[in-house]
Amino acid sequence: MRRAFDVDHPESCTPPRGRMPSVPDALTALADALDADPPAALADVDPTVVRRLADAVTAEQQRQAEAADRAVDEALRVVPRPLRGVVRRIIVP
Amino acid sequence: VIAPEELEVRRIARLVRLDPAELDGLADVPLEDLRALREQLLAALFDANADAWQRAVAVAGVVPAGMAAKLSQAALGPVLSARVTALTPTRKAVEIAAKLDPAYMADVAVEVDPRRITDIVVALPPATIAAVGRVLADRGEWLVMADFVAALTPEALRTTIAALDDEAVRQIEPLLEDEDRIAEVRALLDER
Repeated sequence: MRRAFDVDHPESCTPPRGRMPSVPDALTALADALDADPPAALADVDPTVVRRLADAVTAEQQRQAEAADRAVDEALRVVPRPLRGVVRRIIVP
Repeated sequence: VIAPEELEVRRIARLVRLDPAELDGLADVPLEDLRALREQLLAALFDANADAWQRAVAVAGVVPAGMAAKLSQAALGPVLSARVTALTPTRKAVEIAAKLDPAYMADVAVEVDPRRITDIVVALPPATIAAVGRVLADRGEWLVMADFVAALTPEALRTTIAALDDEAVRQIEPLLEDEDRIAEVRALLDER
């Protein structure tokens, strides 16, 4: 499986400053974010736009993952004590 | 009438929290490719962290609907709730929806793909759908509303249209893509 966002190397998802992304680079970034090859017609789109889309996908995936982590703690705080053990066994992987 | 390619770009932009203007030129891509791209984006966003969403569904299965609704609002928030809703059994989802206020349901509606929750939308009381529709109209979420129209039963459509003013319906109509639904909406407008 492709890695959508490398938290240890976030710069891997961002083109070097001052350089326009090439079409292949942008399409590769989008394919990585989607974990699938995007439609071939995207090769005709400005690579800056394709790269922006790829970065937006990885950023949204990252936001979701972080929100899911926070939700575990919040759920255990909200659930009444009698149900907490059952819920903890389900949501703590 | 707005070109279907332009509507797809707006949907794609909303999914990844970009302004459509930031996707300049994307509307030149053939419609079927844009639709395929949106499906890929939906899969990348809805199916990423699928284990976490499934665990949330399991929690909803062991707590009362009122508690599940509280967890949806307090712990998950609208984005994660949208992901989880798509995996929740219809009956449970409808029970939880009955405990949520329309404003929060509207928050979730903006984040969900209606095609993934059609069974739930069909099972919701028309009055609930109309109440959420009013909130979305107040917020000017015309494309979200238009996308939900396809999932509504005729009764829910009638109830929702009745709850909206003419201006709101006129904002939604150009965004509808299904000719049959456009005809239904026009007929309901003419009945006023």
